[in-house]
Amino acid sequence: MNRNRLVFFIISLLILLGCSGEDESTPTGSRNLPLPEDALIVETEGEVGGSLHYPLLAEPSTFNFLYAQENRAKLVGYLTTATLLEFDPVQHTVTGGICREWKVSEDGQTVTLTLRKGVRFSDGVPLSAKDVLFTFEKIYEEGSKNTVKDALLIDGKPLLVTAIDSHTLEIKFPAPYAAAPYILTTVPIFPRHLFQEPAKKIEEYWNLGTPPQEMAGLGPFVLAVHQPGGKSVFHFNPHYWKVDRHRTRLPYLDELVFHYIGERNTQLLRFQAGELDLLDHYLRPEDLEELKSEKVNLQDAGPSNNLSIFWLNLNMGKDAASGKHYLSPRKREWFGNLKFRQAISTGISRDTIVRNVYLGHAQPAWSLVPSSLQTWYTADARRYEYNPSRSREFLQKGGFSWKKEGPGEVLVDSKGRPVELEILARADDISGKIAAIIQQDLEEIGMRVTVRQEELRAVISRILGSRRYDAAIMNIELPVEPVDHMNVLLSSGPMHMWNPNQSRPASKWEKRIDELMFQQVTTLDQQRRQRLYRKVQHILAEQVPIIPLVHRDTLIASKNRLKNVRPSSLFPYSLWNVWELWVAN
Amino acid sequence: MFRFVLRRILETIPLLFLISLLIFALFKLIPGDYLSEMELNPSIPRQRIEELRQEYGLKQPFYIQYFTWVGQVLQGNLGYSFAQQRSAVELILERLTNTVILTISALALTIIVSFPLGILTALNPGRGLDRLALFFSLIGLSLPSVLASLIFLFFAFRTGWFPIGGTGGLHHLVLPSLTLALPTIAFFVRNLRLEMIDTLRQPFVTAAAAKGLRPYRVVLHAFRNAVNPMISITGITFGGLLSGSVVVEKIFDWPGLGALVVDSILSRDLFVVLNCVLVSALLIVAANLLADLVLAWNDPRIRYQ
Repeated sequence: MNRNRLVFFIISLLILLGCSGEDESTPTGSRNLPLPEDALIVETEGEVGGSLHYPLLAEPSTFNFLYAQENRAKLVGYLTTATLLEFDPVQHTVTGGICREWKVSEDGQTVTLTLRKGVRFSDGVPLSAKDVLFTFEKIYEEGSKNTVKDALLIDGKPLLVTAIDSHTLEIKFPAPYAAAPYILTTVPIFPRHLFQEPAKKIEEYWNLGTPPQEMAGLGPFVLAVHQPGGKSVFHFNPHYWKVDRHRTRLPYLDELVFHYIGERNTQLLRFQAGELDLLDHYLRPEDLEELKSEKVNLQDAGPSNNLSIFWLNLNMGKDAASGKHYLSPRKREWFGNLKFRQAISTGISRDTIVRNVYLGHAQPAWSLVPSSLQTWYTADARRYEYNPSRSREFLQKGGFSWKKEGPGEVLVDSKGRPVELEILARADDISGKIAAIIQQDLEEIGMRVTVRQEELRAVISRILGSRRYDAAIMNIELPVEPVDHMNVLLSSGPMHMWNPNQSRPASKWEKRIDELMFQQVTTLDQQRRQRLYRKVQHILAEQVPIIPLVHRDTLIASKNRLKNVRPSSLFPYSLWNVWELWVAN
Repeated sequence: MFRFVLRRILETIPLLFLISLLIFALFKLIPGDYLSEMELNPSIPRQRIEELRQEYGLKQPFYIQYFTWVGQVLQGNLGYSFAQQRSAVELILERLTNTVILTISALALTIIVSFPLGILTALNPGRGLDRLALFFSLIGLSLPSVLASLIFLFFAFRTGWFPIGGTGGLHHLVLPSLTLALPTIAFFVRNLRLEMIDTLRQPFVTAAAAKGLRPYRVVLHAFRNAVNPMISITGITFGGLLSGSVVVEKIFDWPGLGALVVDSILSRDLFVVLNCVLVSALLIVAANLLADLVLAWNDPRIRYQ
């Protein structure tokens, strides 16, 4: 072949490759299909059509919502499936969803559910009780490691699900369970007709490589295109079972596009350039000023369940492998001293963290639950308002004193040893700033404080694995329902940060917390449950094993043309009512 | 020829072995693993995490994990992505296509811009165009790709002429490939200019001109001789473009192998990182091999040696 021709051929091929970037598609479903007999009427109104472009930091790990571990995959599940019951993240209540009615028996062990009539999956196949039975069968399948299963095992036993007729189901719990309706909000319903290959296990279905036409669900959207690492395009579900007050079928949007953008700054730029319509979970307080414009609607949805905590290492025991104590004798003495812990809590200025780190978009925390979650919020938990003088009083009562050193003074214990502390924090901007503020505050009361920042997994490994650290700062996201707090609050819990996996409670107050937590799980009277949980918060506030610092606010920036944006401070933030969102021309 | 290709391929095997062993060892030295982050999720029982560790073989000693993986690779199984819950091969192949598109586009851009510019500057040394090209090539060589990416992002943001990131049609490819190609263009222009100046002074070029060949024929004649070192460099440059694509892909949200490597390192997705590095190493070897073949095709003297 002539050399010039070869060069021309290569260039043409490259241009062709460059042009063949994506499989663009437009929604093809009909907007005029008959409505279900029992359609759920949502008190809303808007206009049909338009697209919404939304960023995620990375693509989801799977489209199989039974295996969704992280919020990204759960969000896809939220869009494409429906759960037996729904959790309203604004009102914090459980609602019907695809069930027209649901009733809990007096003994709290049986839930009877009636499915809405005429509900269809996105491919047009009607929903029946058989789909629900099939879903539970797959969840409990031998050897299955799906993420829903654990929540649906009560004392290690499964729920017993029976179909009374094609639209009525009875679910029996092995023991009275306070959060029975809530855990049914975690059960997405699978279309049985699409899972008919006997040799294939449930986890082999619906991964990121599955063609979208092989998937169907009951959610407001269906996956149309997935471009690995780039974006996912969702089209409206033509069979969705929610309608607005004028009986217009929801969702209003024709299309929802998730863009996988790994950099927050790029997300911000693309939002400003008009390529994105909505920013929520990833929006930082410092971005708000940048985004102020007539075309942008900025909202603060209030304190979220994202909580910054600080704690001292209370692992007083020995490492089984090495036979050595996790902490030196002096640190065991200091950290085990209640007055020392109270002094630290009083010595930290939460307001400074709110002001300097979150620019006012956070709330000082006095318990694990934010004030926005009124059902479990403990307003009267003991508060350790910032007061260095009070902090010094606590230290004096705890046997500490101060020794002159140069121009300042240093805190010493009863044996004259200077108090030194190393704070372990994740190597990110927020944790670094919080650590610096705490360092400064504690130095003011005479402590010698250093900060050690490490990558997240290294920090976790040190806290829950080797347990060799003095104090730590961490951001955690506690679920809204206290039954899900067991791992953190039980002394045997693996996330009992200050001293995990205790074989028996290390202290009387931890034993009491264990008792209260077990009681609240089986107490059916909601008000009694709230009292029990609040007692736990009171004990935590008194004993200070953990120091709640701030609850971060959920911030939202949306283009003005996007309507019905009524964000929740909880996941899925501004997309919780995605079926109501619409775009004004 | 076959023996030459085979020898080159066999030479890469110990290299790949060493690279993979090094990465494996480095991964094992860092505290924590992919599942560590799950330990912060109160809804996931510890027992489940330990079961997963057992299943993925993460609890076994380092050398057993490594040789198990090597054994699987030899059987054609490149392992599993923890983060995406599927075969690492599927994932890597998807991303590889995007990286190859980006890298080849950058390479094509390099050739399209640098070859004519290199020739023109060599034909007019010391003139305005030559000085301008040398000045800009100096900037191109000294500008870090991160800074170049940010300048292009700012340009896209201000003008709205190009999308800020992501994938799509040809317009999405322009800025990332330009960023990636910038230092290579600069390098090629400078080198080709020198080679051309040197070749144009050779007696065979003077003889060709004296025989009455048209000027463009004379230049082409010289170019064919001057381009040989550039062909060899192209093979090496391909490796540079591949590694450069890590930064560019991340900044421009181009879903390629580079971005996947960064994300997988951060999430400790061990097998994906290992396989990405192996694939990249193979690509570099293949590019060098291809460069050798093209060189042999362009210069018959090499074939006879």
